Amino acid sequence: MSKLLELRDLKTHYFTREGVVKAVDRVSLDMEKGENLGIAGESGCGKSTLGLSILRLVRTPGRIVGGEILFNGEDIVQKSDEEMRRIRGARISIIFQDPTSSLNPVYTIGDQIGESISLHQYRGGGGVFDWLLGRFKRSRAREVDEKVEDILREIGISDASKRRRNYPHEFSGGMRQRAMIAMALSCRPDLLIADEPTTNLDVTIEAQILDLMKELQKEFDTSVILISHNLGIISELCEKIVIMYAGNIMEFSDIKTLFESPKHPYTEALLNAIPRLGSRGKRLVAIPGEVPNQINPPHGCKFHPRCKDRIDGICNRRSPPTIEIEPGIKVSCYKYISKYELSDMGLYNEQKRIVD
Amino acid sequence: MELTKETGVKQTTILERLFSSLSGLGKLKRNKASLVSVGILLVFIILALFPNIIVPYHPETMFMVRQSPSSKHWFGTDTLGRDVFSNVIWGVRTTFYIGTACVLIELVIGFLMGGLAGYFGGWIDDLLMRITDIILALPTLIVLILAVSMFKVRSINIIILVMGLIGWPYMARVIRSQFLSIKTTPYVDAARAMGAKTQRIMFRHIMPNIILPIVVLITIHFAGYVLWEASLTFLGLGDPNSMSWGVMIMSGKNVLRTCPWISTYPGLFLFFLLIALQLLGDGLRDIFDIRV
Repeated sequence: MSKLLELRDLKTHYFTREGVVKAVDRVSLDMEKGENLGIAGESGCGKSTLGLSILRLVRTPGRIVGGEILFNGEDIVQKSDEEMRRIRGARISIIFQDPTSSLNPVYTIGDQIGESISLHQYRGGGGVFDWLLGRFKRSRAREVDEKVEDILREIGISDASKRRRNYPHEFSGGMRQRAMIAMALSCRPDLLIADEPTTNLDVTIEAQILDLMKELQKEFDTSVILISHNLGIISELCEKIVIMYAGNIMEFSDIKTLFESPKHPYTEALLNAIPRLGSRGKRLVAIPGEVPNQINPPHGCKFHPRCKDRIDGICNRRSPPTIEIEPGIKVSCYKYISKYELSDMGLYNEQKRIVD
Repeated sequence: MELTKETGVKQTTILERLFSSLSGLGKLKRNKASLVSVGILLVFIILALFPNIIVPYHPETMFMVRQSPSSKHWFGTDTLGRDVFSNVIWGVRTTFYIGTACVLIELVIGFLMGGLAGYFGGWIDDLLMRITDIILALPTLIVLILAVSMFKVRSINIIILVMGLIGWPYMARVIRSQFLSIKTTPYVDAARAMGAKTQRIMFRHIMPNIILPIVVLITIHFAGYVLWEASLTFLGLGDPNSMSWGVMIMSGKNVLRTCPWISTYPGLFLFFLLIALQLLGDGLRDIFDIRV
């Protein structure tokens, strides 16, 4: 299998008045073609920024300050704005959290889906004049309309020819999110980034949306990056998962292994904080402490002040390297680094007493 | 709406979309004052469109000078013997021409300055907004008088141009603030994520969403320009050949005691037009909850 997406030491920082927020700090990960990847973490851990970085949509004061994003082997960070514009929507799409505000209130659903089609499938599509021209060219307009209706039918909206002319406020939340998915997938992109696509929807709709995404993803052969704080949703759709904390990747694993034997202490703590069926009477364990201040994060491993397995004198000195402890499972934690390697790194000897 | 032959599907037109985005206008009905002002404005618009049908005489026709109002000359005749009623009615058109042209100039400059500043931010924003501040800091009427008196020719079009070039800063500010708030909405992000170009985002995704506050400002500024023109004319800087109310008021000022009708009737029309525009602006502002 070839790599669809590779991130190499990606750094996206926000330059605020108070200081630099390292929202994504030296993140590296691989994604194979046809594979779905989940990105999980608490709010503010940088998972949304990571998603936006892949499309180069991070807004000022944020900026990608270093690293590479290889998409099909080409570095996205080096692309010109015009090349980037052609990638967006056509080869990489994104769905945002809130479908209500992600649809322009003054245009009909059909117009908006049609726009995403005509932006990439017809030459020139861009300015107002092209758009007006497109409107007056009846044959093309009808062609787009038919495609829009096909798409609406595909996402399970009945009476497509009528609903096409509805405005976003006339759609329910679930239907709006489906329309967003339809827009995102209308050009059959290679990669779909779904940023908390079900957060604002109720549980039954959530299941429908996930089913729809699964179905369309298979049909269009699109890989999905699902960003969510909900591990349950990620396990529904994805095979691989990344756990993020304060801008760093803590653990990269496949879903099954992650749930059966979490490697990183943070993952472990995270799983203990989720209620599960069949574990009656067991108390949920909250993670002590708070998410660190992103402007002055703790030295060393950013999780160490809250970690139950921390080794004083090591974890608070240098951020841990990422090591592959089993094939396909990578962890950033000193727990899995032997004494000998630690001493090679110059960490062990000085702290001998404590470690022993 | 029209039906396409093949599918029988109705196509929405651009106009319909505009109307649906302005559907809040229905709430105007609840506001009595603005309802009345809409009525007055409609009358004015009809007068501006068809003055030749309504007036009894050609405005240049001479009669006996300074006749007081009678059944033959409803508003009397002026110092040159022209029928005041006919002139006042023809003046509606001039007034609308002045207001519309100035507002158009204001809109173009306002969109360029405010739109670019709001959308791009950074040093562009700083530069354009400082220019705007400089224009705002000028004493408007004095600059107007200076600028207009620099020209040898007294032409209504020069006056319009000068007024438009001085009047845009508020429009630019409002458009900038609207761009600032709309550009961060998720649907603009979504448009960018779909691969839309900058100009497309500005014109197609942001502009239709900021029409309402601009409409409010237009009604208020329209009145402002008409008043400015009348003031300039009264100060002797108007275009004596134009049929504007300012010129008429000016021409009757020396005989105000003996023949008050020459200045009073155009003055009354000016007053009603301004008050109707202001009330409509207030009503719209209440409906859309906009602070200008």
